[in-house]
Amino acid sequence: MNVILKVILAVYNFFVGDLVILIGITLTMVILALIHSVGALASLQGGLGLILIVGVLATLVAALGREVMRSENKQKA
Amino acid sequence: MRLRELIPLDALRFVIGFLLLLFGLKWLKNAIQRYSGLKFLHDEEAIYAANLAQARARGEAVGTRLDPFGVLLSYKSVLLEGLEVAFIVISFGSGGSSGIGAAAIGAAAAGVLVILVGALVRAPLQRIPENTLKFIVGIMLTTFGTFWAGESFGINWPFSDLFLLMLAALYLVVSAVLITAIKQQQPRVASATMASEAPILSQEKEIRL
Repeated sequence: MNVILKVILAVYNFFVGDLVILIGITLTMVILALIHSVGALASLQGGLGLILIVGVLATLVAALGREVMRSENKQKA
Repeated sequence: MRLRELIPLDALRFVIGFLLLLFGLKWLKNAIQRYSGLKFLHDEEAIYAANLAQARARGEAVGTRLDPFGVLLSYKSVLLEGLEVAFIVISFGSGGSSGIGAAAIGAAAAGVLVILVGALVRAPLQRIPENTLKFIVGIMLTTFGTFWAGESFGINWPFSDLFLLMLAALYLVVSAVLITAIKQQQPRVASATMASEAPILSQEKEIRL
């Protein structure tokens, strides 16, 4: 394996190690940034905290849901 | 010169909050998986015994002399944990008015205290459930990550810093609900997972995409 790819994978695994968590949190941050910076979405700024907390919890549920599905698939196999 | 004089405070809060959220959710997810039976409880003694048995089965000499590879591996592990401490120190340093210096002094004092206490109460410490510690750390990292990431977007949390306790309580309750739900809905998952994950016990940090 390419050394650069190895380094990238090592950094990824050290920081998060789960693609669902990475995508979920990144997506939540992008949504928050949009609401924070786009004028048309200014009416949603009062709910930024709620959106952040819901995003974090949804990410946790999605990551665990995937693990449960993995386990079920292993059992079926 | 302080770090926050070089980098805008909100940018620093965002980066630290983002990283803490990634770290925290990873730890929390693993701890919940272990509590609910989706994963084996981490047992360092058992892993060491299994690795020792594997080495003996391969015909490798298992002696008591200092193993350079073992020393290197231990150093790497401690270095990684130390880096996590550095993130936490930077987080606390950027959040308060007293700065990085106070957070670093606190971390150094905590380090000395942990070494002393560890040396004094080594045996009882070995009986503290590892997963409980990781669960609490996961809750704390996720709580602080949410708080600072939110502040970077200009969120004024209700009750100011007291909201940290409410946030931690919320994550604790949700985690408990998730553990119960997984246990109840997937009673058969545990046994299947335990059998299939046994070979990767010694590779706790395997890459999983």
